[in-house]
Amino acid sequence: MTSIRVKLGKSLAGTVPLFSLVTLLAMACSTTVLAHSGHIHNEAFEACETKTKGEACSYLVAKTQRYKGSCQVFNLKTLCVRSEPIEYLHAIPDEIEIEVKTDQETAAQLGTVKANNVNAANTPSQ
Amino acid sequence: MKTSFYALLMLVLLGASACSDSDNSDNTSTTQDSDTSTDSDSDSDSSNSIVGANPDYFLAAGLAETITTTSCTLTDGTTTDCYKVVINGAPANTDIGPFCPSTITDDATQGGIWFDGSGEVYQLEGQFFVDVKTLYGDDWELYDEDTGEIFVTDTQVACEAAARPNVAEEYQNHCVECSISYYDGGMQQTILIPVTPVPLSNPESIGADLGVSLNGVVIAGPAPVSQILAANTIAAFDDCGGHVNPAEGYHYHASLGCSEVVTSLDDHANLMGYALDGYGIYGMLNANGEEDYDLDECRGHEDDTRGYHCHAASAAENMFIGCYQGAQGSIELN
Repeated sequence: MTSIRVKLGKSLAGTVPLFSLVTLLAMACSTTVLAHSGHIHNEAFEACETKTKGEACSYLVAKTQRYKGSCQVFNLKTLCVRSEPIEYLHAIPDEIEIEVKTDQETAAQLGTVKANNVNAANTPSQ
Repeated sequence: MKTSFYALLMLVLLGASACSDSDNSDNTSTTQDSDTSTDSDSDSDSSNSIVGANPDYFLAAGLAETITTTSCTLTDGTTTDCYKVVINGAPANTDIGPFCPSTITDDATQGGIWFDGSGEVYQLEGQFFVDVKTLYGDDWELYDEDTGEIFVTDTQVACEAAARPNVAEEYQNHCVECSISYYDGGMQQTILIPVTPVPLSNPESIGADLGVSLNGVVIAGPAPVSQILAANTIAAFDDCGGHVNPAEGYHYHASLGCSEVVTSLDDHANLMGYALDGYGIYGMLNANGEEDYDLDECRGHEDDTRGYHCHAASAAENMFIGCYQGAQGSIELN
């Protein structure tokens, strides 16, 4: 977290309300936030935020699919590259954070894991 | 087991000889990997088998000239022979587009797709642009509420102002598309791929572009979706996972089967192209819809027939492979 100190002259400090200062700072420092107020799905990036290249990583997609792999660098940005088949979970709604695994692991031991189609990441657990 | 292996090998060789003297100009699928170069008298040492690219697998209509062999220097300093693949810049076997629909009533056939790496692939039908506020935020205004017309970058000026990292302000809140006709129907590029891959002791990271597909299209790294979304834009892909930009023309950001023109005979996933290190890139799933479980950090593994090779990730992940296990050739605009 970066802290920013702003020095103001007496007259300015006296006339500019605190709210306006905060707004000005936000505009100056975060055009991205202004241009895009909605949620960007950055799970693959966030999974590697505190990790270095090659470290193991995992993240959840839509609370029902777990992606596991390792952090890799693309054009100086680090993101999680999945190297295992997508693990489908039965997510228990919201507050209860219990996840029940399907029998995918058993299938994995046999050599391959079923997926539904090329866009397997879109498909819910069967 | 061995009998079936030799039967498979025979099929492979027959398939290879059947297509080796054709130029693939009819855009039909060819069969399986040949050129396995596996040492039949040293089959116990299959863990180190190296299988190079097969130039016969490229569709001729995607190439600007016949593939030749030339001397090259790889990223690790190795001087070796490379295949010189010069592509036209347009896929040999599919049309480019469509990308953005025109109005909010258009159906999925009138637009392409969008993926942001979140595990979803969205069909770019008109309704997507109505629902996009729910997805990305209330400040997304991608269509005229009075007419239902979607804001599309439909001129070369608009395309070039929007298809770049710092999107011009007047083209924010647009569906971004560029026509390949702005660039003479395709940008020629030359790709050098080592004839025999040179394994690295440590995998190397991927930059902007990572390989070439069998139908003559550059395979790119992940699309910069954070930058695209930060400008309230959708840089639409067509149903093959490609789009056009002014820097390199048409290129793929996802594997959706359009370049899988070589069918594997053994139910393995199909070959779709080669990475710059010369290793093959295959589809994600095999013929039974299954994904391999033993992939390494680059999404690669090895078998007796194909040697080391990689499998593309799903389109929803906005990537093909994770890294290079071999020293790379090069790619450049002509």
